Amino acid sequence: MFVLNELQQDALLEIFNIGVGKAAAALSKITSEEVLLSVPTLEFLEWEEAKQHLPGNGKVICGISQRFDGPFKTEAVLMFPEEKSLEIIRYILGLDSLLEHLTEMEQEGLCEIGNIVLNACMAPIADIFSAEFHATMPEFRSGTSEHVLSVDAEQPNRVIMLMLVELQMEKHEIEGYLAFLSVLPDIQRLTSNVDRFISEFTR
Amino acid sequence: MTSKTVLIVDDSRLSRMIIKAMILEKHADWEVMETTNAEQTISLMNTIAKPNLITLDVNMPGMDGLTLAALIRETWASVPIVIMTANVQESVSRKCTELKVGFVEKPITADAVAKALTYME
Repeated sequence: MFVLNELQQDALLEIFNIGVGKAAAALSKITSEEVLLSVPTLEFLEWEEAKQHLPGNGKVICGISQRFDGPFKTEAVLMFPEEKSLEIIRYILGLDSLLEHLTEMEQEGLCEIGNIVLNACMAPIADIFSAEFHATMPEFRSGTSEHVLSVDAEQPNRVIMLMLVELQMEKHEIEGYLAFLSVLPDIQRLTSNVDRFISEFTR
Repeated sequence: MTSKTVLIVDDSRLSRMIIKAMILEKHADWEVMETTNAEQTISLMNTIAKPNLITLDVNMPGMDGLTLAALIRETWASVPIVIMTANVQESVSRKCTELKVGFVEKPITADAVAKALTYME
């Protein structure tokens, strides 16, 4: 099993915490609402085990996913329960619709929100590593969290890094999540960069 | 400058290490204390004199840094407090203004620590 030492784990969480803080600020600006953040959790698990730790309780959620490749590879996903995704996007776009599912335009709107929030998260992380991330286009997914966050089907037994942060928007009673998934050997690239970051301060 | 005391409150060990190292690099004779959460901070407050500056993280397990700042003010009404956070939401900076505490944006750099020290009495 992949294990980080205490300082590596601490540094990794702090680095992502900085990114998540900026992401929350971006989401707050878009929604004109305060976004409360949980303390991030970080686990290294095989996918079969990780599935037990995913949020959503089997309910349908909407996720906007982007893959980032730079000092490490990760898939970042912004997720909300489906009915709350409708509420957020219709509030932001000023739309009034009775449809129970997101229209194509609403999905595009959510993708743009995801793009802004996820890039706001990853940009300071790139700065910390003095590097650059290349991002794929945001992709809209709908289904259970297991579906929205599913890793490559050819890699079911590989260790993944799962980082989760809960987002709460009290005015609209919305709870969402930011999730980051990395697979070995990308995790090792990440920890090499974390080690380099730590060494700058512990020389 | 006479010797000062700084209390760093942050759940991240690395963040505490960096802030402490950057302070001591410039002010080797200062005393730098550390706590990792609100509970530890409140316990420590019962045993020490008022520090010259308290730096607080916002997003910590248990009580958050802004709530802790308000609580610290009940005991040490005039102690300079500076929030060090990456959570740059307008609501956070507004609460800092309301609580009359400083606001410094993470990541922690030499400039960020220097800015935090400007809030010191």
